[in-house]
Amino acid sequence: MADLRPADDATIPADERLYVRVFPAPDAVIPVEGGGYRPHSGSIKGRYPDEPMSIDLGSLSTPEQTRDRGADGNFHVVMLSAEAVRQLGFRIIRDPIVAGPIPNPAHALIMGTRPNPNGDLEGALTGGEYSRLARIARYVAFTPQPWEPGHGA
Amino acid sequence: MSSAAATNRVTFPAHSHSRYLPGITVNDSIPVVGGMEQWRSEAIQKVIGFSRLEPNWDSHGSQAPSLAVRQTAIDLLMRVPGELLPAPRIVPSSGGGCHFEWSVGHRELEVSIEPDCRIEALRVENGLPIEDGSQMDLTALFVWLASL
Repeated sequence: MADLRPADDATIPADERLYVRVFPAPDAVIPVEGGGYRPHSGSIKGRYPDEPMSIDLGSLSTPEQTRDRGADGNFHVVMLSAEAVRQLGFRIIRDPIVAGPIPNPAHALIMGTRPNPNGDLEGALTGGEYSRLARIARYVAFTPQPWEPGHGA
Repeated sequence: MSSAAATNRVTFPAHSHSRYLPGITVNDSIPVVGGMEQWRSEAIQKVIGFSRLEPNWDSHGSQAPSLAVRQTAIDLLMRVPGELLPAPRIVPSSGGGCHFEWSVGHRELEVSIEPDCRIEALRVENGLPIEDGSQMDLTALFVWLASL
């Protein structure tokens, strides 16, 4: 098994805020003991299970920009701290999107330990890793119009 | 942290039944005896409602969960021992799946129905996922969750 992941980017400081866009399904918002709300772990999974987790760096994006970029703004946003993510063993790297219709200089990746079919680590996350991240994430922005099954997305 | 292979995979027994019987009509004037729990009915309605998600609902190009995924989700919900467990929290997942979370005390159970209808389950205790590679069927997972 080879670890093909890039090294953690030490230029991303411990107090960096990491933002993730969340689809506003009614059950995506879960109250946390002691206050605040965390996301449903299924809400932070990316579309492709063999890829790292996409995030925005808070030093280069506001929560509202993360919510609205390339979309209609009808999303929630959760926040993780880089320090807490690293304490769980993840690596964080910059991955700015400079080409295409929706550039995003704030784009970065959280690298996990889900092996690819060859057993190598390329940065995808296991279900347990998404679960751990969901438990340390907290909502920082809500859409005023959460999705309801009676309406379109 | 352990590998994806450690995540529990779950399959339904071979005797899963079809709910659709061609050629049979229902006489609505006959009252139904023994109704479904309210939480189960509401959970099924949530799953059915995911069919109304528009293309690109997640801004990453995903489609709504397919009919097969929704049917698998409903089959799952019909197998939950309703007298033991609370209502699950259900969200659509990117790529066209469904994701369930149950919480009982300090135990949680996450069940993911993937776009290809594979079912993966993850036990969580005291906030820590258990990825030990053990194989448990759905009934055993629900019993584990409820046995505090």
